[in-house]
Amino acid sequence: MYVSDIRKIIASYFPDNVSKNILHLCDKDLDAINEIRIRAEKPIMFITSRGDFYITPQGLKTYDYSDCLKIQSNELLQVLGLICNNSIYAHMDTLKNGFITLAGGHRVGITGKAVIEDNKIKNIKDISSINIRIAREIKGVANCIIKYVIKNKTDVYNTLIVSPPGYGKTTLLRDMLRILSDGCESLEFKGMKIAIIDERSEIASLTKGIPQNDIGIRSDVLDCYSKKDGIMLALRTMSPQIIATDEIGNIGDYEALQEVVNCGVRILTTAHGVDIEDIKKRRSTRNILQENIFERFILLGKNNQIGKIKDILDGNKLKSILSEGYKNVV
Amino acid sequence: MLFKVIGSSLIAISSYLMGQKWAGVLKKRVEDIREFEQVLEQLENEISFYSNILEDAFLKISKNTTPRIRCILEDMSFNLKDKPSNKAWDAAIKNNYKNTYLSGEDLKIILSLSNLLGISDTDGQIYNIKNIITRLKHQESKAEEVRCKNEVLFKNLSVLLGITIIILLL
Repeated sequence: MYVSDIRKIIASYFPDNVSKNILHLCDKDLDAINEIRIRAEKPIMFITSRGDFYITPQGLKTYDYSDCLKIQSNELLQVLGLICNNSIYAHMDTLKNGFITLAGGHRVGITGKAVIEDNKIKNIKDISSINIRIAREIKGVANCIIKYVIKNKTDVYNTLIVSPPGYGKTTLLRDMLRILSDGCESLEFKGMKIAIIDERSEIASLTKGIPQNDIGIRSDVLDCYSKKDGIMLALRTMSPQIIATDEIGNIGDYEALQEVVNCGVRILTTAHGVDIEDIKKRRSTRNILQENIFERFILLGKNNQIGKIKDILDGNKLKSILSEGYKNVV
Repeated sequence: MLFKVIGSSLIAISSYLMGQKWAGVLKKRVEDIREFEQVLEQLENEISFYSNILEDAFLKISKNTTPRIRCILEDMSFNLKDKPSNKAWDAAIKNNYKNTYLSGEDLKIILSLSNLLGISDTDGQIYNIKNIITRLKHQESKAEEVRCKNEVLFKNLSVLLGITIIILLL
């Protein structure tokens, strides 16, 4: 399934002369790709958990970047145009923030020269690199840890998932939301109404109003809303029992989370960091710890491995609640 | 005698219809220009109000247009799936302009839409579209003027031509 997704991305968003070479790669190599990085006049780089590789102009996999397929500046612009569906104006808001989300939730990071007006970024010009991060929906990835998040048959703990970028926070959050929304028979959990504030369209990947990822039957998606606006709107209009967002990180987010907790609504979210010490150091997330908003912390990145649970902490005592047996398994 | 009457009638009718057709071309050119203006106004709305991508916007607009213009817009929407916007627009126009009554000058203006289509922010798109609309309005008034001047002329000339042929043949 992922291979066909990656093939589709490459065929749809790369110029023909480049895509035909990349598509020579075998399914195994394509399946391993986590990121595709393209930089003007530089080799096209494929990032996998086992290391980076390149392709030769003949479409063969290589680890030697001296003789590999490079992308030209004009081709980079062509990629940007295709990524924006030939409609850059429709993506200006996110483009200014350096990213675009593709159908399927794949996030594209874009760098170049900022065009400033009134001390604000108005646009990006002279595009220098594009990074396509392949999103993966892995159903069942949260099965083992969901019991640590569910409080009782009708309630859950406020939970924060912490890991460095690219370690599977969003994938885990998405699967947790699916389980919490549908309900979990084995734990006699009935399922709760969830409002997902999907600021970057990565959790549900809404396309024409239809979620492309399974987020459960009781989930409502507020797509492309800022966290603050989305949370307020959801609280006022959708009577959620859980609010979920991705990547909290600024002061505004903290205020919005406080509002959620004060309303008696549960919160599930993620933050960048290696461990709790990291969260404590950051001004924006330090307050969240001091206020004891979260009752569970899920730390990812055991042995620097993507998607591996490092620990689950109780929010009050900041002590591990992960059973020894479970620790050995994961 | 009967043969002459039937032959003359046929010449008279066909020359009249020819005149009607020539006059119709002038009228339909005005209609096509006017319809393109409406298409662009709707496109402006799709971009500024809904922020819809071009592929969806053209498909949506095509549903409210006459078959002559609809095929261009549907082609455009299809082409956008795998072509940059300028190439998609050029191909859509070149494949379908024969179905329309637009003149070479009108087509040149419509083709110039592709220069900036989809590759700037909303303000840039609106500016570009408004500019094309203004130029098309100018073409419309010119086409309307030509129509007023020549429509009756073509109709009368064709009838007169038919009568002349009949007289010569008789």
